[in-house]
Amino acid sequence: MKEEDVLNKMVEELEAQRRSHLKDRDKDWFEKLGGKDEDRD
Amino acid sequence: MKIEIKECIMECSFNLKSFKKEFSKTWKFEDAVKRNLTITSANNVSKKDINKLICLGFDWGGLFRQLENIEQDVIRFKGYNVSLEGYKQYEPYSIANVKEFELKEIELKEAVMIVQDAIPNPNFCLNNLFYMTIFHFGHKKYGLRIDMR
Repeated sequence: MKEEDVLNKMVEELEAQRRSHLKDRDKDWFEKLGGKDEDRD
Repeated sequence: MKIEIKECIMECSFNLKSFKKEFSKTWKFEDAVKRNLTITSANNVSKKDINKLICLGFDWGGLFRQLENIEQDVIRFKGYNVSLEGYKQYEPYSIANVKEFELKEIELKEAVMIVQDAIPNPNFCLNNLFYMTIFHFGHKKYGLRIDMR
């Protein structure tokens, strides 16, 4: 793979990751993890 | 590899609104984080360690990159013990000819994972775990490898 292609691929992945971090926010997941005193499965 | 989230060992709330005001005036990052972090529960861990974990082990850069899209004023943080199966850390081992690096494989079985409700995305939290919390390279040096030919 050419150097430019390697960099392009990396940058595309980083950009996709940055977008998905916000787009795929999941408050339910956070809540279901529970806290210190909650009885978790 | 497998990661399993175990018990919650700490909870904190972080006043993001107040942090933004203070940090943009002083640029003293750790002071601004500590002043705006309130530890609401701690289970067999010291408050000092929790402060350090949040300051040093959380991906603040990742949060700042998304800041314009985060509307909440308060962020809730939680820390969980996690067990790791088949996870390998790679520590500095040796360097040769200036640019050939060798890393040593070490198995890690336990860690603490930080989750928060500003970017409650499992991948963000795993990324945080691997690259911020259990990335122990900074203070370790490479030995010099010399090829005797």
